[in-house]
Amino acid sequence: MSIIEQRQLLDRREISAIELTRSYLERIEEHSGLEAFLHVNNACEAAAAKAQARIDSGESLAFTGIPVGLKDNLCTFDMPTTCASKMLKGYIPPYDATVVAKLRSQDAVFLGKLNMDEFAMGATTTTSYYKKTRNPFDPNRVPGGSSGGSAAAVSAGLCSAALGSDTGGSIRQPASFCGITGMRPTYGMVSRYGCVAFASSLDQVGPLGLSAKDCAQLLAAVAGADGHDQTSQHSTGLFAERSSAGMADDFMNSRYEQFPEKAPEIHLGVVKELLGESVEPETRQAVLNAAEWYRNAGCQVSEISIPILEHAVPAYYLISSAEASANLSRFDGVRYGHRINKPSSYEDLVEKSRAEGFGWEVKRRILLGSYALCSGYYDDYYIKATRLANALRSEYSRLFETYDAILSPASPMAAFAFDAVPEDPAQLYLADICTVGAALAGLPSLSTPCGLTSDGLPIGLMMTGSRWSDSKILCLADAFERSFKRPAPKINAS
Amino acid sequence: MSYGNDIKKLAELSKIHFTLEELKEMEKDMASIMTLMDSIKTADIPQLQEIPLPDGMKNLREDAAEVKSSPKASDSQEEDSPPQTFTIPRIVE
Repeated sequence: MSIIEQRQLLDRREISAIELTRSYLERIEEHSGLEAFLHVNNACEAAAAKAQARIDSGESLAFTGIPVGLKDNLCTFDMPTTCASKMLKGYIPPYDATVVAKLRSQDAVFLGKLNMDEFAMGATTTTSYYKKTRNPFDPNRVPGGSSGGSAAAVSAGLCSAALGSDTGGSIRQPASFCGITGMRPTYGMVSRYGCVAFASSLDQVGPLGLSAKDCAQLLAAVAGADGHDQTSQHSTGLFAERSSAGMADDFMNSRYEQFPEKAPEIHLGVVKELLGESVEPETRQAVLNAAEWYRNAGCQVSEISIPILEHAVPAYYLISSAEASANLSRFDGVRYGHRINKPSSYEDLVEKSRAEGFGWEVKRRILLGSYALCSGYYDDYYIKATRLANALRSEYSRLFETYDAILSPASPMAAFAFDAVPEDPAQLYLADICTVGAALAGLPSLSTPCGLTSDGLPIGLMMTGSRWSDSKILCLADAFERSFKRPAPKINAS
Repeated sequence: MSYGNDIKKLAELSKIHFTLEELKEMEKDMASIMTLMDSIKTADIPQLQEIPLPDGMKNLREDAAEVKSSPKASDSQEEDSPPQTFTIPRIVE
C-alpha cells in the first residue's frame, strides 16, 4: 500500500495510526529472520497514539502516523545509533538528525533502526558487526548495501518507507537488489546534520520506497536548507518554495507527469560503458527493454558515451576513503565509542580501542585513505582523483545540455549469494561502477525495478539527472512504474 | 611495488593496532586494492590539465602521528584555570 493510500485511510479514520503501526510490528516479528532491524522502537505505539491525536484534531501532515524505518547512521535521541559498528555499541546520541527531526515534527512513527554495512562502507550489508540482513527475494542472497536493512525492510513490507544514505551507491544498489525504488537526491538537497559522516563531500540522505511517488513524498518531507549543514540548499527546481504537503502537487504538475503528450520533448541517453561485458546479460537486456519502453512512449533515446567512467571507481574510493580516514579519527576511545580496559598509555588506548572497535573493511578504508593523503602519494592519488571528479562533473554538465536523463543499470548484476561475495576487495569495489559517477558529480540518481532474472531476482534501472532535477527523474520513473508491475518478494526468510 | 613497510606506517598514521598476522593479511588486501587504485594513474583526459589545484592544497604539513595535548599538558593548564575549564592562549588582540 502506498504512502498516499495510507494517508487517505488514516485521514478517513478507516484505520488508526496504532492499528497501522501494530500491523507493521507484527510483520517485523513474523519476518524477523530477514534481520533487517538492528533496533525495534519499543516506544512506537506511543508515537502512534500521539499521531492519532493529531489526526483526530484534523491537523495531520503527509507523514503523521506513517510507519517509517531509519538507517542506523541517522542520529536519534531516543534510540541507539550504532552505524552497525562495535565502536558505537549502545550509543544514544543527544540529538536527532535533521531528517529525523523533520519527520518527528510531522509525528511520523519510527519503527526502528535498520541494519547497514559498518559506517556505510560496503555493498552487501555483511560488514555489519551485528547481523547479516537477508534479501527478501532469496534469503541466501545479500540485500545489497550499505542501506541493505532499509531496502530489505521496505521490500518485505516491514515499514512504509525508509531513509538511507548514499555515498557511492548505498541507496540505489540495495534498492535494485531488493526490487524497490531508492533515490540519491542532488547533493545539498537534504541536510546531512546528524548523519554519521563517512565521506562528507559525497554522503547524501535519501528515500527508499515501494514506488517513485513514495520516494517523492519522503524526499519532500526531509529536503531543504538547514543551518546545521552549510552544504544544504533550497532547491532551485520543482521542490523550491514548497511545503511538504505541497510536494505531491509539484509532482503532479510537472510536465513529466503529462508523460504521453510530452514524451517527444524528452531526450534520454543510455550509457554505452555501463552496458559492456562486465554487465550480466539479463541485466543488460532488462535495461535495454526499459529504454525501448521510453522510445515506444515517444521519447528520444540515444546511446551515449562517458569514457571517463572507466576511472570513476578508483577516484571514488580514493576520495571517499581519504575523507573517511579524517572523519573516523574522532572515534578514539576518548570522545566516542568503544574503549579498551586498562590501557598502558594514551597511544595504547587509542590504537587498541580503534583496533577492537572497527571491523576489517573500515580499517581497510582508513588505511587506503591515509595512503591517498600521504605526502609522497598525494598528487598521484588524491589530487588526481579530485581532478577526475571535476572532469566527470564537466562531462555530465555537457551531456545534460542535450539529455533530460541518463539510463543505465544500477548494478552490473542482480543480488549475489552470501557465499559468492568476492574475497578480493577490489572485485567488490569494481561492482560499484554504475553508481559512483553520479555520486562524484553530486547528481540526483534513482533505481527503479525494470525486470527479473531467470532466478526471479530484481533488476534495477538507474536514472540520473542534472543537479536539482530530482523531480524530473522521479516523474520519469513514475511513468515507467505505472506500466511495469513491481516484482513481489517471496519473503520466506521468517 | 611492496606495500609491507607502507602498511606499518599507515597503521601508525591511522592509529590502529595490528598484530603481525593482521599486518600480513592487510598487506595482501591492500596490494589488490592498490592495483585498482593505480589504474587512475593511466587516466589521460584533456580536461585534467585544465583544472587548477586549489590554493589550500599546495602547502601541506609533514605526515607524522603526534600527540598534541598530553594529559601532563592538560594538568599544567588546570593548575591555573578555574575548575572544569582550560585556559587557551589569546590569539586575537
